[in-house]
Amino acid sequence: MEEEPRIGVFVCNCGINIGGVVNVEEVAEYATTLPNVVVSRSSLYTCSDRGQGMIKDDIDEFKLNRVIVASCSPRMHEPTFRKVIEEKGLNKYVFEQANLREHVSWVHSKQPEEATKKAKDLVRMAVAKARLLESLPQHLVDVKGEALVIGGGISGLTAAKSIADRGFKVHLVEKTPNFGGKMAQLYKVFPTFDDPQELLNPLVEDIMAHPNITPYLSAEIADIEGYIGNYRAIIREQTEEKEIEFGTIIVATGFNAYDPNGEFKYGKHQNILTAMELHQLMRADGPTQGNLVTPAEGKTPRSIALISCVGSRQNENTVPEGKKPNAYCSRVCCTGMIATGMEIKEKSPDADIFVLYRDLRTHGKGHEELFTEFRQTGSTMIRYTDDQLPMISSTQGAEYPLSVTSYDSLSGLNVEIPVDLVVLATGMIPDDSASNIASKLHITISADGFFQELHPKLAPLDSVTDGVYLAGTAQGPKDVPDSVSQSLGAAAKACAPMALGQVEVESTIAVIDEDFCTGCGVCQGSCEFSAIVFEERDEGKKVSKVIEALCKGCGTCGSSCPSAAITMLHFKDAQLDAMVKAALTPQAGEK
Amino acid sequence: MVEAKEMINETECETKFEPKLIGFLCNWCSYAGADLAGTSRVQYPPNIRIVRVMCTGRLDPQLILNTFRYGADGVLIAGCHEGDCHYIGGNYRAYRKYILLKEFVKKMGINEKRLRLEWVSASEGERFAKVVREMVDDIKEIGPSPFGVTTTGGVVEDEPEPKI
Repeated sequence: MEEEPRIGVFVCNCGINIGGVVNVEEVAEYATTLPNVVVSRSSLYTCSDRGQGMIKDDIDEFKLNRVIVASCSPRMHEPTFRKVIEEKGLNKYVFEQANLREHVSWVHSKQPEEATKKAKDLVRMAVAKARLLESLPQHLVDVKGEALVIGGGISGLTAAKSIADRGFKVHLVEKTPNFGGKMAQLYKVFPTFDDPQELLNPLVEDIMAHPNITPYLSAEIADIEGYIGNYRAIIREQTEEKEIEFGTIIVATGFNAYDPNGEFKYGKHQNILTAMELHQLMRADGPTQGNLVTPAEGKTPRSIALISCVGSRQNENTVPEGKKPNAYCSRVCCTGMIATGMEIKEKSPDADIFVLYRDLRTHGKGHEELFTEFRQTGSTMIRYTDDQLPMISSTQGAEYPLSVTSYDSLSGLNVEIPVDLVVLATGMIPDDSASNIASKLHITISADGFFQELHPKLAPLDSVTDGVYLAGTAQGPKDVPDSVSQSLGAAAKACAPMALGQVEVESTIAVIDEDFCTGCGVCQGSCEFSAIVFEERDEGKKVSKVIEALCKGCGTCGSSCPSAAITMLHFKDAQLDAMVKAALTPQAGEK
Repeated sequence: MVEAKEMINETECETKFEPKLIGFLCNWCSYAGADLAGTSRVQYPPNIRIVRVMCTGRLDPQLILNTFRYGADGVLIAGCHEGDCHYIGGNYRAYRKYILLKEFVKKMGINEKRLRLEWVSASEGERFAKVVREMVDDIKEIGPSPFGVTTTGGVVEDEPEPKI
């Protein structure tokens, strides 16, 4: 027999995040008037040790068989509280969370009365659902001890080696013919001025010789399917195709340099270069064997302008029509520009350097020190403003081929600088493959075009899909040290489920009541994962059956079934209906 | 005369129509988008009550119709953008049902503006707030639902508790 629900409601102040707007005491008091609620309390931080202890104590004392926490978004702390009640022997699916922070206090912060009313409604809705919650069986799936790393730049290489060193097999897929990514194209990497090849070569050698790593070059992922622990993909390497199986994925697809076409006269004069192009020019394997000369004249530059924030921190007014402005800071260009200035000084000590910047953000370890050192070179700093971008013009026949004019907000003067070379410190944009990879792996992209992490603070390496992790600049602009740190973290994340060998997957799947199933097959047509098949029953009756391991729990089949034979566990019709009813007809949800 | 007029104004104030909206948001995009509105402290009117579903594809037309029956002045269905569905194509299936539902609610005498489907991604907190603002404004203009229970405080039909 079904036991009578005994619900505990725990309303969280979240410091002042909720309590500063919502009258938490009043909400907790109100909860006691709701059916089956046997205890209701408030606390300062329900997620703290003390708050969790309170829930555990009350589960014992009041013999709770349902728990509601009214606090932040379930996307944040549902796993935390599920764990708490599991420790007390309750099934994690008898937990329900009401979102009083992201959906109430933070968005109605100037309407405390309305916010409190809404908070009560949300608690009443949660109680209505909690009364109908059921314990669900746990599902474990095996995790294959192999990983797929997409992208062979510094991030992908680092992650691949870290995983392989722990004893798991790694498939490392790189779309270009060489490993090393964008880092391999640089002249030197700040703030230590290392030759990137010196850093990359030993790593690439290790990778190629590693018994646990299968490298794929000039390769792409033709097809991919599966779920955490059990992925399958087809890798196309030139003309060959190979099918592989693996348990986890690291996305390290990196970045592209911003294309400044149409801005700062880029493309109109050979002596206007991007930072990446200048790096190439200075390399020993570059077109001039590393001699720094102007592309147009082949002469040593006497005067050079470096311009920052090209492709970063843009708004509608700073980009040409038709271009989408990149609002974000690319984080590496300021220090990169300073480092470039020092490299130029090393190659051509007599060259005059003019740095045109908006703000100088040398935030990384050793970066500000580098800037202090750069200032000793006596280079001129000019601070331009975003409403008056520097203008570049070519000066036919004059002593210097180019002229830069700019407003300098430090001196309040308009300046004109004759130069041989202009270098644009271009920002980072996501790699071209990002949107394709996102749709193949069902992970999301944030407004800036880079992959979105599950949580900016608490889960910066996870994607929204279990078993898929983010490394390096694929997630957002980063320098080499940050990319390496993040890749090592992502590798550790990917190894955790592989080391355990099994992970628990959501039990919220669809189940079909065979007595009601007419065998029409509509559900099979609606399932994107081919998780429903026909099975023969007595007298040749065909019924649909859900393959549990393949079901992702979207519930689309349930809403398509003309016979209402399909139940979507944890999101049952009756449960959702009760929530809606409680929201709209308060007295229906009260005692 | 003057007094009487003021009294009328007062009464009008008291019964000022505040629409009740129910939002069915998919867990992966739109619910996360609504969360982002919160973390970004974007303000929007407190008229909406959000129900989280894993995918908009899960939404049974019957549930939407029940929501109107219980007196919702508006129903928002919000899911992932085209091509972004966590479950590949649940949002397309939701869209197909939505098109039919639109026709159906019109035939029931419900203004079709009361039912709205939007694609809101996890990074579109501001857009989520904008959609809610717009919907509240639209529905304030067209008035309470003909199933008009919100202003009277709710009509509950006498029916047995739903079976699990």
